Amino acid sequence: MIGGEAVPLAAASVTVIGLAGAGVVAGRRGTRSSQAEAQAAARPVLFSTMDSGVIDVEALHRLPRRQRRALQDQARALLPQVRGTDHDNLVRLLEHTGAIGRARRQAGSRRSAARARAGLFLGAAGRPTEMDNLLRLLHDPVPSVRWAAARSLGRLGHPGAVSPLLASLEGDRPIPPDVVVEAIAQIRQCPVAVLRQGLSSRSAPVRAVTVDLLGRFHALAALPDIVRRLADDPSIEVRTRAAQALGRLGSPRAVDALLAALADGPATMHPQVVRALGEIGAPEAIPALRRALTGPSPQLRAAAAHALEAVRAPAQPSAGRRA
Amino acid sequence: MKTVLVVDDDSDVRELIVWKLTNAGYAAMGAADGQAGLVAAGGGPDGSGRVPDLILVDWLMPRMTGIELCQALRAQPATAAVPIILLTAKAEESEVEQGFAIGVDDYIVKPFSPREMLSRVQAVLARAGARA
Repeated sequence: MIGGEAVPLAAASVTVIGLAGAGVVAGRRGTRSSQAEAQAAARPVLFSTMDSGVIDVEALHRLPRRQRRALQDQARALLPQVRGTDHDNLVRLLEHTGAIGRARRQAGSRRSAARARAGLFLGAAGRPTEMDNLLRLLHDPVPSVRWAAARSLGRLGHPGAVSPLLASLEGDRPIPPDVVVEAIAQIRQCPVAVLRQGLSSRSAPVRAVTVDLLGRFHALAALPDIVRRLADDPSIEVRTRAAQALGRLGSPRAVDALLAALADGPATMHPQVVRALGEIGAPEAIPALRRALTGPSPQLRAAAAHALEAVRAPAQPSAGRRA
Repeated sequence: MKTVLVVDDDSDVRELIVWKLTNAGYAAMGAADGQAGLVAAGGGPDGSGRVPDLILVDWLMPRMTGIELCQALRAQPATAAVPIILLTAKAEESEVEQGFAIGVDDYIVKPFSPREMLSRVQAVLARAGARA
């Protein structure tokens, strides 16, 4: 009998759970659709402000609270996606609504997630005046906040951020090299002379990031320094990134050094050296690349096959890149 | 009136571009992913609608990437010659080459200037008009 009662009870429970579940789904759908309606209603005000730069204060105040919130959410979402006059107008609008002031306060919040969000938002706002706030966050005890600050300093694009970003690779709270590379690579007016000082740093991550960036910025003047790092830096990471940088520079003047690294350098850097030879498109590297086809690691063999293809049939004439 | 199809999974960006284009006098419509974009570009589910004069495609989309969509558009007779502008956060030389290799007509790198986007749309449409 107990078992007989259990079945209808279980069925009833399933029904109740099912109905409750359907209610939750319907509720979520309702919330989503009303959210979509609020966003749609707020868009004309948002887009026309971005377009004209004129903040229609009355139109903003006429928006019901839900639509005002939707407008702010959309404005924040668009901020990192746009640049130029529309971006500047968007920042003015966010300043008017108080969102930027709130973010400045949140940069000092006790909650790390709020500090990280504030850092990203202030970077996307792109005001040089936010530099001090972001430099402070670069030394935050929580890694995600430091990374957000580094990314935002890159987004801000101020050349003055290069030295602090390089320095953030050292110390008790270092930022990962790739985060710093990504940040500095965004600084279009990066002072290459300042960057080159990083080559003589005692810190291997600083040297690794520096050679990587010199390649990304096509700093041909630094080629002899990068070649020296490839040949005799004590860190394999620095030597590997030097090979990558030489590939990006695309100069045939690096071929001898790369061939020497392939013959005598540590095996872990060989795939990168082979890729660089392929990028330069040096025909004199063909015998060494053929030998690499039978090399010990699958990565090396794959890189060699790809490089040989590039050397034999260059996709683009490389004359323009050769210096 | 020239028609422009905007394919981007980011609704904020898609709606902004559609609004800008509409404001500039184009008939603009949006599609939220590559599949919907492919259907809309071919003139709707039954192919009876109008094929757009230009298609703006975001590179990074779930399920079907912008590059896959461009390849599909180029393989479809109705859309094979429709100019395409790729919206992308990728600005690496090799990726730009990859886009041009499959027949993309122009590039807009994110973060983008909506005003510059309008100029590029205008320029690509003018070039396409001169070719026709």
